[in-house]
Amino acid sequence: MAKLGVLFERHHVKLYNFLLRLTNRRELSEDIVQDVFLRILRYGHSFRGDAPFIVWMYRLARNAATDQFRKWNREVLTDEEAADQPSDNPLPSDIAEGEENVALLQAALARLKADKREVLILSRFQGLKLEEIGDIRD
Amino acid sequence: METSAIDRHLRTCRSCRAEYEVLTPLWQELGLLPERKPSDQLREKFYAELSRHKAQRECTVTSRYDLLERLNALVDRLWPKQPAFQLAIAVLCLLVGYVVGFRIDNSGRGGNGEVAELRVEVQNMQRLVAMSLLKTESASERIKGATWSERISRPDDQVMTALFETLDYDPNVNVRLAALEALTRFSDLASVRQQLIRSLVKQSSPLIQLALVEVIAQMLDTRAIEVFHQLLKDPDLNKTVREQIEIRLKQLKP
Repeated sequence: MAKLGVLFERHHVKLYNFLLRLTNRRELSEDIVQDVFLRILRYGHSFRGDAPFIVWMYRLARNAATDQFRKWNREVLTDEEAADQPSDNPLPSDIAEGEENVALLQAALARLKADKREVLILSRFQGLKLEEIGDIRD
Repeated sequence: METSAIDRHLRTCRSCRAEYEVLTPLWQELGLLPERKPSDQLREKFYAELSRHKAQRECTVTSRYDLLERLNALVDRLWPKQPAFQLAIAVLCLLVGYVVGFRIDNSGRGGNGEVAELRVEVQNMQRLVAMSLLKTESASERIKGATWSERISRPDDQVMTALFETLDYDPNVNVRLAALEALTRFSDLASVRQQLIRSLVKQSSPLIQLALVEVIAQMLDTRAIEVFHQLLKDPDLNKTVREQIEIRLKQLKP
């Protein structure tokens, strides 16, 4: 159990950012992070070590997120729903000139389809290898 | 390896290269997106939950330990102090053990019948698999069929006939060899030996002829002498086969 604290400290920020970029919801992302670490506690014995721990953890994260979003395999939110939902990210008009690019990138990322966004996030932000991403999405 | 393949492709494909040149700065710009920090509540909630689990687990372990302690105390209380009673309990345990062992042994004998039944069923299944594989169009499947038939401890007439038909008429030499190999396992049967000797006359492939001569010679069956002589009369007989038959004939003749 003490090891779980170490794992939490090592991975929770990265995992949170993965989920935040995927869902655009801060509270929900935190809930899923909490859920993932509880699953690690509960199902830790099922980790066989044939794949890196991080692959297993992201798999758990996807499963936890699937429980939250029933439409996960198609899209986190459909385009119409996304337009209706208030995002936690500030709008480009609300921010300073220097941060405009960041906001544009965030908006562009949010417009990608969920599965494509997921691959991009895992590769660009989480720094995972293509092989590992393939294992996570298996 | 993956990257070098992409690099090679980019060197030759103009449209991909153009797309790559547009996307590269975008890929780098994505690095501008800052990493967000989760709220402190996440950490607090996580550690609170972890403590709760730890407490729950300790409680379970303690209750298990308590149960074991109580059980020990009970046995202590019930266990007689006088050696005569202790001996009586030991004899009683021995008797109970004997009776239980005897009953298990008897039920095991009843179970042997079920095992035998199961064995027959497995044999039937293997026979069916071998037969159906021997009739397929694929040569490799027919080879498998011949190999499968080797698993049957005593194949019935149907399987034997199918194997001999394969040995005599299959268009593929490898399948015929596999059938011969399977049949060799049953060469202790007089009927199998006789049919193998007959089969030698029907073979045209020197490879099969050589293999059959070898098998027949090892069976030391004198009925082979007549068939060997019959083959030697054939002017078109392969030279190596002829030599082999002559050697084997010397071994077979008294």
